[in-house]
Amino acid sequence: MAKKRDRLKIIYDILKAVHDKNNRIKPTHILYKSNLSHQMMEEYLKELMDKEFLVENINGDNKTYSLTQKGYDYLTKYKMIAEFTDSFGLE
Amino acid sequence: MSNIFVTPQWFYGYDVALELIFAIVTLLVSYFAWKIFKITGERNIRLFSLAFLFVSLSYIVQSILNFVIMDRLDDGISTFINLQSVYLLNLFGIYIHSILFLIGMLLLAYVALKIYSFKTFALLFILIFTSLYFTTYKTLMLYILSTVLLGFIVYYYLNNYWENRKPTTLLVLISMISLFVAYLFFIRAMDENMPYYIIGHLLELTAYLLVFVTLWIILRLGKQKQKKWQKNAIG
Repeated sequence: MAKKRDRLKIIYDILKAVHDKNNRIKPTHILYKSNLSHQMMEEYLKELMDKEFLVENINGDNKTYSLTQKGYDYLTKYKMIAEFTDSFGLE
Repeated sequence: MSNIFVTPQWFYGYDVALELIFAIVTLLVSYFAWKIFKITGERNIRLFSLAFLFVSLSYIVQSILNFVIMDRLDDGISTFINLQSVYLLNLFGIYIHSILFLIGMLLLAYVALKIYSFKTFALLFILIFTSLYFTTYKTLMLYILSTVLLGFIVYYYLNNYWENRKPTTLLVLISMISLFVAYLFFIRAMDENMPYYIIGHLLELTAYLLVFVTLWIILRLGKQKQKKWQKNAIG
């Protein structure tokens, strides 16, 4: 059975999706890339903005998200974070 | 200091050094976990960091007081006042070390068992410290309570290894088992059985060295992967 994706990996997937789209992504793309339900995605986006990993850009009817420096730091250090949380069972 | 009366005289000094090593390793784990908490903002990582901080503080206190006791016993003046002050210092040390160590273990069990309920934590806290307060055998009770908590922690890390088989999860599992067995030896050492006390310390040393090796592997792998990621991102 495939292992359940943990929270930290979901956050990584969302941030990676933003990064891969030249740091400007629409919510529909995040939904597609993160493989989450709409409600779950909204909750994660809110959390990521609260934690200052993402910023929301509103231009008329268009809404996009960009990475902050904190979000970028998370992305680059994710492998180390995952290794630590896996080893000490902190998922 | 955990019980100076079962510590062989030749072991004074070595135990201080060992406790300092335990304090440094646990402090490193706490610091690293705190750094990860600052990046992720995850509550369980903060609690994990605090757990290791308490364990580290307990060893720092133990080490300092053991050093003072060793110093007083070494000065050659075995007056009643001197022995009494050693006894009081020992008692004070047992209290402080026990409280800090048990808070650390309790927090670790809280994170490992994913309790996430303040009421349950408060209940465990009250039960543990009430039993510690009312017992005459403080050191023995500390060892028994620590062993019980470590038993749960070992069970959790066994599951963690089962679900995620890799060298670092195995190292953490072995280190927790070593710590658990060390405390069983400490309980046995209460019958003034000195070899058990020394074997317990050596097992404790094994446990913390394994934790240190795990941390080193994580940092090394993490840095390699970080460089690779940055290279790919630029490329």
